[in-house]
Amino acid sequence: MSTVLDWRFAARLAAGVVGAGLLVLALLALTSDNVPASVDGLLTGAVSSDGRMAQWLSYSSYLMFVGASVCLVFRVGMFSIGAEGQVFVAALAAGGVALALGPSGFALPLAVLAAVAGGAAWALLPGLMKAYLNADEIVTTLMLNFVATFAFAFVIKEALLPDGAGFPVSDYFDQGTWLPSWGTIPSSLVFAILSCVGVSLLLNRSRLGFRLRMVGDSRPFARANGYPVRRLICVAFVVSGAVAGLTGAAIAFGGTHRLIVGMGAGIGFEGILVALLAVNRPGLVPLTALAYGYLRTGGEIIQITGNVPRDVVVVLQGVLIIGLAALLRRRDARSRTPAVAAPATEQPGTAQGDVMEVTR
Amino acid sequence: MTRPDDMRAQAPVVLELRDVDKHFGPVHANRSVSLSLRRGSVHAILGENGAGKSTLMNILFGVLTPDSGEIRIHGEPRTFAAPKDAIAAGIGMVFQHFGLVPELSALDNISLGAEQTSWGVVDRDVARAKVEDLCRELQVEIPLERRVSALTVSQQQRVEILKALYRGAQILILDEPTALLAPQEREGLFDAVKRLQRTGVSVLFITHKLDEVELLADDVTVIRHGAVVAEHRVGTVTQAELVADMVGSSTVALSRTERVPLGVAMAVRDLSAVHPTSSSLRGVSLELRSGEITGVVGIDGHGHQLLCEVLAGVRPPAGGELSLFGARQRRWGRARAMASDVAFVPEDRLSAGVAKHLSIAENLVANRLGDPRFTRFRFMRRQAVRRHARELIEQFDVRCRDELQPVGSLSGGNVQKVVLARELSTSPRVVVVCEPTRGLDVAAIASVHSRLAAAADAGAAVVLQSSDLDEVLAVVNRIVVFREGEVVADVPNGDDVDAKVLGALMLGARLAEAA
Repeated sequence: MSTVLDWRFAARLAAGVVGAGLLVLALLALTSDNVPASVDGLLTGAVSSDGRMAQWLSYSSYLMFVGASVCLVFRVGMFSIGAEGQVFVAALAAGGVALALGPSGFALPLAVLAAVAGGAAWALLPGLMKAYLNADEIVTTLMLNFVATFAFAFVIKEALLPDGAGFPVSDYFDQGTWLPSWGTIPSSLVFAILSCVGVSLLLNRSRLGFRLRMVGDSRPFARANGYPVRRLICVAFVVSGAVAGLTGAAIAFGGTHRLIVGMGAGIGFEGILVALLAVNRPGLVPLTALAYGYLRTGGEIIQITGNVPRDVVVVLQGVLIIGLAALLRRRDARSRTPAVAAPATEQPGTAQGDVMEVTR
Repeated sequence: MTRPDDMRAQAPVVLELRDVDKHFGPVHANRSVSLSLRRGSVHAILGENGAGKSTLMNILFGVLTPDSGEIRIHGEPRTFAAPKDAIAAGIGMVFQHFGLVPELSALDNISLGAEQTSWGVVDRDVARAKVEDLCRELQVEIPLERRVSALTVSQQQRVEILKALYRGAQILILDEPTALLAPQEREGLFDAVKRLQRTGVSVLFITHKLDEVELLADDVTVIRHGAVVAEHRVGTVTQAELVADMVGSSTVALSRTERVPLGVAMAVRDLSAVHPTSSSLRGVSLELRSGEITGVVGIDGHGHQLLCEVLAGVRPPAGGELSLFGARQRRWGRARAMASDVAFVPEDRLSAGVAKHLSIAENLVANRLGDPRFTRFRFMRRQAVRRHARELIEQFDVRCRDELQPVGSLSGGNVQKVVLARELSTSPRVVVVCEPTRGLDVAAIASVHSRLAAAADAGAAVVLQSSDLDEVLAVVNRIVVFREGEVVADVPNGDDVDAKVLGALMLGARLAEAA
C-alpha cells in the first residue's frame, strides 16, 4: 500500500469524522435541552464516574464474546445471526443450574458449562439444517431467535418466578456465583478478551481453523481437498454458539445476578455490528467492542442528562457506525486491488461481489 | 473485379481508437493503443490473458474511462461516461459472463430496458416482431418464451447478441465468446457472426485462440503488456507469427512422446454414477496404467467429466467396482483418494482449485494438513508453511509478489501453477486433471503440459479431461471417448487419430466409420 493512498485515506477519514460530527451536532441541536452537556455526555460520559466506567467495560465485555462468536461463523462463510437466541438459551441454562445448585462451590463452573452447552446446542440446530438440508442459515437462525426469546420469557414466568415478584424475574443467584470485579474492571472483561484471543488463535493458527477458513472461502475447494465440509459447518456453528453462550453466563453472573425477561436483549445483533466493524477479525473485536460500548454508554447518559430521546440516540449511533463502516470497507476493498494483473478490471463483477459478500 | 475481402479493406472506418492509455495504480493496462475497425469487418483483438484486452473493451463500452486518448465513431470524437452512452453510439457488448435475468423469458431479456410500452404496459408484440426479424436475418432460432435459465449457454449467448442488436448496435464487441461453447456450438456462433457481417455490422472479437482468428477475422491486432505489438490482415500471416507476436517468441506446442505403460494403477468395472447436469455413467469399465497419459473426451455433459469426479473421489459412484493397484476400494471418497495418492486438478479452477482469498502459502498446504511438517499439536507451523510455499513457487515458477499474496490476485496461468504445484508435489500415483489449460495463454499452456508429461514420466497414471481436442491429441498416449455416459472408443493416440475422427466418435459414429 503506497503512502499516497494512506494519506488520502486519512484525509477521507477526517472528512468523514467531521461530517458525521456536524450531523450529530445538528441532530442534538434539534432535540437536546442542553447541547454542550449532551456533546460532553456523548464524548466523555462513559468515563465520567466509576459506575459509568464499570457499566461501559462490562457492556463491552458482553459485546466481545458475541463479536468473537460472530467472527467465527462469518469467516466460515455462514451468515448466522443466531447469537441473540444462543445468548438467551445459555443464560437460561446457566441460571437454571445456578438456581438448582444454590450455594455450592461447583455452581459457577457448572453453570458456565451449562451456558456453553446451551449456546452450542442452540447453534447446532441451524448448523445441521445448513449442512444437511442446505437451509438458509439467515432464516433459520432468525426464526430460532424468536423461539429462544419467548421460551426464555415463558420459562421464567411459568417456572422461576418467585412469589410476589412485581415483574418477570427469577430469584437472585447465590452470591458465590457472582463474578468479581476489580475496581471498575469487571472480571468478565478479562474472560472476554481471552475469548477473542482464543477464537483468533483457533481461526488463524490451528489446523481446524485452517480448514474452517478454507470452507469459508470455497466449499468446492474444501471438498476437493477431502475436508468433511458438512461436519466442519456444524463445528463452526457449535463453537460459535459456545462462545455466544459465554455471553449469557457473563450477563447473568456479572451483570443481573438473576434472570430477567429482556436481559441482554439486542446484544446478539450489536455483536454482529462489532464483528463487522472488526472486519471479522476476532483479534480486533476487543477494540471495536470498547469503542462501540463507549458510544453506547455515552448515548445512554445523554438520554438522561440532555433529555435526548432514545430514538435520536440510536440514529446518532447509526450515523457514526455507517460512516465508519463505509470508510473501513472502502479501504478494505482497495487493499485487495491486485499487484500483478488487474483482475478487477478483467472481470467487472468481482469487486462488487466481494463487497456484497461482506455486507450481506 | 473486386473480391469482398478487398471491398472490406476499402470500407469506411466506423470506429477508431487513438492513443488510449489506462492505468490501474501501478499497472499500466493500456499503453497508447490505436485501432481502427472497418465497416462490415470482423476485427480480432488477440492477446494473452492479462494483456489488456478486456480493459480496452471496457473503455470502448463506457465501463471504464481512459486516462488519455480518443474514441472516434464515424470520425467524430466521443466520450463515454457510462455504457448507455456507448449503446447510444451504436456499440453493443457481449460479455464473457452474461448479464441476463435468469427468471425472465428470452424475449423479455432482449427488450429489457428498451421496452416498447403503450399506456405504460409493456407491448411484447412489437418487441417480438422485431426480434423475430432479427432472428430470421441471422438464421438463428431461440425459444423466445422460454426462461433464460432453461436455455443452453450458446442460446444465452445468442440472446445477448440479439439484445445488443435490438438496441441498434452497429458495432458488436464479443469478449472471448467461445470460452464456454462446445466445438459444435462454436461453428453456429461463427456462422451467425458472418451473417451479421454481411448486414454491415462490424465486430470486435476478443480472443486468445489462434485458430479462431483464422476462421473468423478479417483483421487482427495483437496486444501484449497493454500495447499494440502487431497488426495483420488475416491470410497474410501464419499462426507461428501470431504466436511470436503474442508471447514474444515462437516456441510453443509440445508434442506427445511415446511411453511404455507400466502396470494398471486404477481400474473401474461396470461403474455407474449420477449427476444432475450430465449423462449418468453406465457400465463403464476402464484401466488406467501407470506412466501413461489417458485422455477422456466427449461432448460436454456426456459423462467424461463425471468419470473424473468419481475417480478423484469428489462424487460417489452409484455402482460397480473401483480398484487401486489391485485392491478393491469400498468406501471411495476424496479423503480416501488423497490418502491413496490420487491428485486432482478440478475443472473449476477458481472455486474448486484454489481458495482465492487466501494466501498462496495456505493454498499450497491445503491437501497435506496431516503432514507433521506443517502441523504440531493440531496447530499450523507457519514458518514451515511459508518455507514450503517459497520452495514450490521457485520450483513451479509461480510469478507472484510473495507467498502471502492472495491466490485470486494472480493471473490465470499462475493460479493453475499453484494448483499443479500443490497436486503434483506430493508425488501422486494417479493424477486426474480436468480442463487444465482453459483460459490460459500459450506460455502457461506449455508449462502445464510439461508438468503433466513429467508426472507421467515419473510413473503416475495421468487422466486428462479436456474439451480442447488439439490439446488432447498433442499430449496424451491413449484416448477414451464418451457418449451418453458410456465408453464408445478406447484407442491409442496415433497418426490415424485426429480431431475429425474424435468429433465423429463423440457424435455417435462407430470407430470403423469414423476412421
